Amino acid sequence: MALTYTAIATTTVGSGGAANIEFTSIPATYTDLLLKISARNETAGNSGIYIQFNGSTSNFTNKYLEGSGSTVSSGSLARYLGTEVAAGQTANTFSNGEVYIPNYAGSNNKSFSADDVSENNATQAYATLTAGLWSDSSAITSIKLTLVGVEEFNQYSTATLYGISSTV
Amino acid sequence: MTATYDCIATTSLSSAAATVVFTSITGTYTDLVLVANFGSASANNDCRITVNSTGGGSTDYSYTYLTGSGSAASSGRLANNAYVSSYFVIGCSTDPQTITLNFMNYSNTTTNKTFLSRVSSAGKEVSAVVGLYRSTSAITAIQLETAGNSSPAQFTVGSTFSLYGVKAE
Repeated sequence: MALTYTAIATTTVGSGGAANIEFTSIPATYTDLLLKISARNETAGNSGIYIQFNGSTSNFTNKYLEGSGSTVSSGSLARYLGTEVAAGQTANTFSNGEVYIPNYAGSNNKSFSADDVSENNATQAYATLTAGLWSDSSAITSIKLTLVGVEEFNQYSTATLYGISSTV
Repeated sequence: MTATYDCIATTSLSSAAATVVFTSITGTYTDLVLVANFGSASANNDCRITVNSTGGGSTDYSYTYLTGSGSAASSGRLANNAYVSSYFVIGCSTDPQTITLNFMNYSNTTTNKTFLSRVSSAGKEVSAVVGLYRSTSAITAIQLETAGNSSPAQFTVGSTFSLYGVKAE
């Protein structure tokens, strides 16, 4: 049986933090991509995490469903994946999320699905489900994660990109 | 190391189809994961999941959904139904949508079968659905059907469906 689940690359943010986490030169040899994220914002305040494909911030649409611990809401916010634990919240606590991108190398527009949680033992935390679409037929060859504004990923934030093959 | 995540079968539609069926599913895995990435020929249809060819007159299914439309969040459920719905899918051949299904302990013959569904349709909604099939039979076939209010109710050309087996060892 063919190997179906392969780690393409992994990143761990070093001391001083990082403005983004990026995977480049993604090979087109898999069927789907799965991105696993453990991240924290180095700056105080809740902060959204956003995704880019191929360096583009255009032609993204989404629907999200989000619970904060007291309310549930739904909205549209392009490239949004969820809200990350931030400085000032429970120490050593990181958000977790995953993004599933089927047929990332195909010639259709690219849909993706994301789940993200930011539990931090405080009065407010977020659980977010996202349906995303990049209306671009290009194969995805790079993925970049950023936080809102100029905020940075905390040291020890990690992200791992897996390739999933549907070869039987 | 033993492989724990195998692709059992995959289908890419060369012509539009209303149903996609995986049959003769082996019982040798612990769990199943089905990933569907598809376009829909018409708007306001849904994607209906049944197992073991039990659609039609069956009332063995129930499901509960949590969904966001982009402007409102809601939850609902349906019992004694003939299928589990992924809820509505957008009618658009060029903007694919994604459904991920997880069937846990699918091959045991002691318990009823519960499965989870994540539906991502950026043009329509995002949903999480839990389904129940009230049968202790092992799951040996899974069918996805698009149906509903609009015609033609079909998955479009190029839609892909992949079934993975997950082995806990």
